[in-house]
Amino acid sequence: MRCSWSMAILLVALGIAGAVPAAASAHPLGNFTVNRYSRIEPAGDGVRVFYVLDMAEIPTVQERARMDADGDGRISDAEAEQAATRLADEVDAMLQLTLNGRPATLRVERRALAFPPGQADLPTLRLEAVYRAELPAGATGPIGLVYRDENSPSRIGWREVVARPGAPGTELRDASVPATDASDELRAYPNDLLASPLDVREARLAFVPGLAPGREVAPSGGVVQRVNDAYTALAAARDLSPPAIALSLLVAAALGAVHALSPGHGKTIVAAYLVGSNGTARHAAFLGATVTATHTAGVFALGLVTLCLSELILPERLYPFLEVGSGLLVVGLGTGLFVGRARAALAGRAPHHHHGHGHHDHAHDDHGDVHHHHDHVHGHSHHGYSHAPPPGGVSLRSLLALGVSGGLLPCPTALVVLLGAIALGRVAFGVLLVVAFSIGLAAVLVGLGLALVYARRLFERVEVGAGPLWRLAPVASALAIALAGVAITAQALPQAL
Amino acid sequence: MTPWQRAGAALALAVVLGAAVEVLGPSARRAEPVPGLSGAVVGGPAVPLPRTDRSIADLQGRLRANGDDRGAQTSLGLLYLQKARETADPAYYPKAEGVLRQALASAPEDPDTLVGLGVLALARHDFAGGLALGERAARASPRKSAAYGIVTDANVELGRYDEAIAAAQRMVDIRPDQSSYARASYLRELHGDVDGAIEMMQAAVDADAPGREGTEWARVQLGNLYFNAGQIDSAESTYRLSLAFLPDYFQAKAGLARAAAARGDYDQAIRLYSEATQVAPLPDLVAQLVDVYHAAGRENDAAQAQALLRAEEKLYAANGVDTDLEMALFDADHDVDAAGAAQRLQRVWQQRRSVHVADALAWATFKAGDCRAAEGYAREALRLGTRDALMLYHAGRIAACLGQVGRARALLDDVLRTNPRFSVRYASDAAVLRDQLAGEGGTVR
Amino acid sequence: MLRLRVLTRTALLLALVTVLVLPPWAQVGDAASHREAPAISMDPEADITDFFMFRSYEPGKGDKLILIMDVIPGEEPSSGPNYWNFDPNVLYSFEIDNDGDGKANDVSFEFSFTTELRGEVTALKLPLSYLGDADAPDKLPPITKLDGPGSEGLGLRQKYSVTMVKGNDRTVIADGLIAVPSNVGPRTMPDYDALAAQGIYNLDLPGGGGRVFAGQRDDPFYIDLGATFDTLNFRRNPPLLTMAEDANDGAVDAQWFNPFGVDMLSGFNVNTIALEVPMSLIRRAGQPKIGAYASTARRNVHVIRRDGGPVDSGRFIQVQRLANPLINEVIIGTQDKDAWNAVDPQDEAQFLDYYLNPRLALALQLVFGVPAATSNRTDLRDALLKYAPTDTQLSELLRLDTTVPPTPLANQHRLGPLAHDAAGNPTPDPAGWPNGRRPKDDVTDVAVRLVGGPNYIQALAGDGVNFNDKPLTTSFPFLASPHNGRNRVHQNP
Repeated sequence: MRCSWSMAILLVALGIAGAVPAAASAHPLGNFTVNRYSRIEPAGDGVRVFYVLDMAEIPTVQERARMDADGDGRISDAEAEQAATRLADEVDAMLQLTLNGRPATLRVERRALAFPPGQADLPTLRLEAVYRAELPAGATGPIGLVYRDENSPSRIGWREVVARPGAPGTELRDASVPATDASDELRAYPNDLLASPLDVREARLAFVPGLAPGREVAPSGGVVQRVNDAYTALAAARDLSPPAIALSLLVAAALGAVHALSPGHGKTIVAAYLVGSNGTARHAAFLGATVTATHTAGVFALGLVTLCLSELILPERLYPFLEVGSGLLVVGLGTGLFVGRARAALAGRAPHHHHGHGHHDHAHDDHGDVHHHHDHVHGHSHHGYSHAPPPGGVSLRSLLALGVSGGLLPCPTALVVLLGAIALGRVAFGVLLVVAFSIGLAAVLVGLGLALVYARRLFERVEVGAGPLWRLAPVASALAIALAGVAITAQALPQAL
Repeated sequence: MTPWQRAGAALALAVVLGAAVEVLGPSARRAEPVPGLSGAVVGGPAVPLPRTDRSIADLQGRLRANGDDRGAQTSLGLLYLQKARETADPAYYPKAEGVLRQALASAPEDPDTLVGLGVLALARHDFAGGLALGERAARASPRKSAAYGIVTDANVELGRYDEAIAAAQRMVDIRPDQSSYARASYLRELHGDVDGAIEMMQAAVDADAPGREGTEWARVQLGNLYFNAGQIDSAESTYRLSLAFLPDYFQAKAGLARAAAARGDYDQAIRLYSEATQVAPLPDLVAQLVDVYHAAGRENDAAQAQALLRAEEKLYAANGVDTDLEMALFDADHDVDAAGAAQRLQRVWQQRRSVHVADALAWATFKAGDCRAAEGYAREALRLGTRDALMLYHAGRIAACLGQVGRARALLDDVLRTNPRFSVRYASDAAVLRDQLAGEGGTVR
Repeated sequence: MLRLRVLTRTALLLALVTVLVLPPWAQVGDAASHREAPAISMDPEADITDFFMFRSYEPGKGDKLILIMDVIPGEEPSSGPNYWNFDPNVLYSFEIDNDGDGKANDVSFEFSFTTELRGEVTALKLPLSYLGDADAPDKLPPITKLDGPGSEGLGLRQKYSVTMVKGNDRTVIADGLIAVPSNVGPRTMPDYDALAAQGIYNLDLPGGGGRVFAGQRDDPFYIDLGATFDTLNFRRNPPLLTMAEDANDGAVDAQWFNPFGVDMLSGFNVNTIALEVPMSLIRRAGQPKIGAYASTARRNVHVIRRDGGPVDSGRFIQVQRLANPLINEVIIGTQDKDAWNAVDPQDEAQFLDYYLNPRLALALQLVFGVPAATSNRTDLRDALLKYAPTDTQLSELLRLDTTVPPTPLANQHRLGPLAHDAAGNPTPDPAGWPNGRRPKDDVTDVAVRLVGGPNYIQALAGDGVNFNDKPLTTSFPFLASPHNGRNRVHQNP
């Protein structure tokens, strides 16, 4: 939600909200298509066919009219259940499987029906079904298999058939179809300008079944993410001219910035920290760099997980864990600060004690790099406090922790951009976009921090900040940080479990 | 080393040089069809669709070997557009746009590429953009027939008929062929010259091999001309012929469905419309299906088909397409927010003053209750003298509403003379109203 | 679940924003309903694939001039039910220059066709154009005649007229002649050659007799089209013939196989118009050289008819012309093809640059890395556009020196002036292209060598296809009988 809000804001800001269709998640192959996918998995206990039927908006409307038995314009759970059964049977009726030249009967084992949202608030339809046929009795040696999908022959759409062993011991020979998907089970239609939509309706192969039973193929329930094909389609169709690249990067940065403005993302924490400590421009810059680096790395890591380990881990399952991690980090940070500052405050040594002119000047003279800054922080702390961490000062470690917590949670948008770019073979461009996004994100956090730092100095000049209340501010801010961390953790925990 | 020994070594490298392909590729003798090079291209057997596929596969292969082959990019783009015409599958449009834009990047004024992009612009109803592209292509290659085809089509849709005639005349002067004849036919039809339009569309049909998508498209248009002239039997046999040459051609099926509906054979019409809309659920076909369901008394089915139309309307809007005329007419017919339809059409009318926009606007305005304003648009719709029974009927109803008995009667006479079975929905209504006017001479609301 | 939707939508919006420079691509709207007439038509019936002109090499007929044009490229023999026909709306013509001024306006022969539906096909209302059963002739007589009994199954029949035009003088020299239908198959047309022979008509002409034929023939052109199209990716690298291979003309004794190429046009047919006329009818005293081209034209129309005007009254506009082979395909640039086809050959000067700087030479040089003569090709200009280098009029005509005696088919060399024997000794055949053009001439190899220049001539470059897939005949109309629709094959001969 946070992301979409930021998008909306940006759209309005750019004045193009009217020009861009709302939520235009059009079916990538057009609104007319009916797309079909079969994966043939022979094994020791039979031949399974994992079948996916993906209907775009218009055929879905036609199909839902058939499902709506009571004509109330809604598909009740019962109606959907009936429809799933009927659709799975209808598909089955038009599937032809022969084993060793004899027709084999495919029976429905499981099926699941869902209506992923499409364009213009219209639903699309996704049916996943698993069919199984028995092996021919007493067959020895390789079994010849011919499979044909005769469903809706004249309807336009993507048609794909793949075949792979259904169990470790099974061996396929001379398969006329590939073992790997081109479309990720109709979730991501490649937009190769040099490839026509796939139109494979038939498979021929021979297999030695082996002894092991086939792995269970479970329909995912259909509500599967549709990788953002409109993005890939649009991006793929265009040349990346330098102005277009520049514009894209700017837009990405702006999105990052707006994203940071949305609730969350540790702005309050950053603010609290910088108010509570002797934050300077350099601290803010360091913080920004940390957020950028963490966020970029996080996106890449998650991208990697999505690409390589998606069989084992669903990326969306990772989010709650990341949030919990981020929250705990903040709790730790806040608690540490609180303990330190509370001690200091109790000891009557106000953290802002150090904010003298000298320091101010120092901050301005300070033109070194981060390491230099590091030295400076250390030198500073040695000044008055022999034990780290300095309750009111800035410690590198806490700064780092803060930055990490701010950047740890990758924005899904950035992730999809990266994946889209990889799908397009434009990895470098995707990386650039993500970096630009992260920079935009960090810039806002840093900008806010700086604004606070300078605002605070202003207060100090006019002597508003004196008094017990102001002296307690660092302690309060540390407490706020810790509480924010608790809140984040608490919010994310139920989803993670 | 002799030159030829050196050549052997250099060959592998040299093959990637795009210029060579550009020189030989698109123009090689009797190559697979490379649209845009009219005249120098292959003709062929009466089974055209696999040929398009073969050519696409061939060019895809060439581009995989050499991604910079601009000539192949342009040809592939044009073939994708042809494929989209043949299948009604919009998935080919982004592909076409992609390769054409790549081609344009390396040769910004290539007339074939510009023609391809012009076709694309027209397909997505960007008529002004299409006009600009067509004119640009014509500037780049002033004697290129296809460029004037784009200019003609765009001007027709923008309601600039004199410019359209000039461009079509230029086109046919350069090259009298199916493409130019078909456009001449349409302009004659719009100007009320039905016989001349039929003659010209027949010439267009004869000017290319039967079974080609272009030929069968022209044949269906010929059938439509017969239908609109009230010659239902001729229309039907023309559609049948088209279906014989290009089996399952959805445009021919839709034509047959319309003829069946006109004959009152609703079951047959419903079956054929359903088949056609299974392949390509174009809004005008779905709208006609709704009317036939109503006529057959199948209200549930009508409601379902109407829901489909609603969905398509939303998709159009979501895709930023300006209001589709057929859908606006449908809304007005079914008294679905006629005022809203009129408002949307007003905006369209500001941009393009075609007789069809005027007609839809007149009807929606009439349905919204403003007969006075509707009359002005109805006159605009008939300004070319188009003999279209539905347009004449709209004007007649509006005239009747204003109490212009003489004009209304004359218009309705014209309707019944032109095609007494012009509409499942209104044909009998027209006859009744005509008789009423003849008898009473009063105002009819 | 929520997150998933968020992911998709937001990403989409980002995508749209990222590319906001361009309007969103419409999906449903793409298929919307404005009238989309085809942008480009193929027009095969007006597409001339080859033009031949030569002194007849039929024994005892050396005083005749032969003109042949082929139309409709790549006729698939099995393309029923209508197969292949001439277009009644196209005017086919040969245009001849006999006074050496480079203007082919001295003599022309025009052919126009009509189509009729008749016989059994009409009676039975079958959607078939040709019917006949050689196995049950009582029930369904096979097509053995073009007219009268035996022609009942010839449901779609074309007739044509031949008009000779000399200046303002128009003479219809024949009318009501019947074009030979496509070769459907042995059941319908049990003796196609006998049927086709009926389509050779004698003409009574001033200066002696002549003959005319219109109908289907085997496509005589031979080329490795696929290899040529694939960036000159010939099947030998580099694409050079040995001396012996190059000398192989497919004569009586020769091994009947191509050195390395594949004839991509094997198994395809064309529609042919062939005309034999007395040389004396064409030639003018003191002018041994003639020039000619083949032309197809369609009627222009007024887009908007004037009131009361006839439905269709426009003059004919040339839609294609052909004189020398491969000019339109490899010399003229894409953007000028429509224009080039429409103008008369005498206005060729505007395209001179294409001849002086041939793109084919550039292509050869680029692909093979062997220097070719790419610029200032006055030799090509003089050979293709002039009778003599001193001429100032530039016309793209196929030219024939009528004083050169014809070579009998058995002795013809495919390389014409460049021919040699297996030992490399020149054996020029002066009666071959570019002096006129015969079906035998290997215009691909000659063109590659002439355009490429000395390096290509000496090295014997070529596409590796030396013969047509069907043997040519020694008598009018000189092209081989077409492949039949039932048993057609496309294979490497």
